[in-house]
Amino acid sequence: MESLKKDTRGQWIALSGLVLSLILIGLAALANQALIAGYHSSNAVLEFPKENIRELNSHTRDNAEILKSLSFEINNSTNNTVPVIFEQLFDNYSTQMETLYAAHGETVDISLVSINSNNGTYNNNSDIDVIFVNLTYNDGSTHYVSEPEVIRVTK
Amino acid sequence: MKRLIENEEGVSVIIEYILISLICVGFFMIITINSDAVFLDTPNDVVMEREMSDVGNMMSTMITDMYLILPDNGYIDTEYRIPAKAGRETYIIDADVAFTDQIIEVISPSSGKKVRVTIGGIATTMPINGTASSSSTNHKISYESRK
Repeated sequence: MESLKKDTRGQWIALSGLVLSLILIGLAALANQALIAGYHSSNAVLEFPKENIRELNSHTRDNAEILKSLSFEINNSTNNTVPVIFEQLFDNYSTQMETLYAAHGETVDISLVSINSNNGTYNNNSDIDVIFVNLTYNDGSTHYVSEPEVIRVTK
Repeated sequence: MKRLIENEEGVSVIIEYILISLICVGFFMIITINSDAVFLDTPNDVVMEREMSDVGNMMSTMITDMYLILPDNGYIDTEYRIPAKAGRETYIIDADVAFTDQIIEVISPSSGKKVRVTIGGIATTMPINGTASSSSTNHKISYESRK
């Protein structure tokens, strides 16, 4: 202990230690502020189910066209008219989408309102041009309803 | 340089004691007078500035995202969570100025601090209005195409 008290060498090392620790304290304070900043803005991007709703919409549009060509194909081998087959296929698609979204903890409802008309039934027309679909999406905090979504089936 | 450090003449314990005491007393006086400003107000200002602009950016992001997926016929509403206080103060999100200025304001009523965030011209095509207080429990943005 005696030698430690009398030993006055290494002053510059002790001083530079002080300077370094002060710089570190300053940096730590800055880093802490940087940690908080940007949390809420980035969290909003992550939490808002923008892509899920968009996919629900675009999948329904894509599948309406696939279902249309499929119902023409099936029409060749059954007695049912094209709109009737389309409706059956669409119900199938709707059930599958509901199951898929339920697996992510989201409730969706896709229901066919009408084909080629907007009064709740379909015209007994052999072709399908426009379908009206009710879309709802709910994930607990975001609630999306499109009643009806007008889908033009062109292919 | 070496001579200056090793030269110990003119240094007595009592002088050193008085010098150190004076410096310490002066230092602590300054600290006591300025402690509130240095240790509380300045960090609070920095935190509020950042957190309020963060919340403003969040609102702007959410409104832009909602604008992208709005249904033609129907409605969309979403709940969001914000901290009850920025720094030590509550704040209000004000979107009533959005239509004229294309901005959202985040205001602290107690200190008058204000942060403005742009919403990228959305309000010209879609009217945006409403205010939200950070101290209320439920916050919601909604859109209805029929209104």
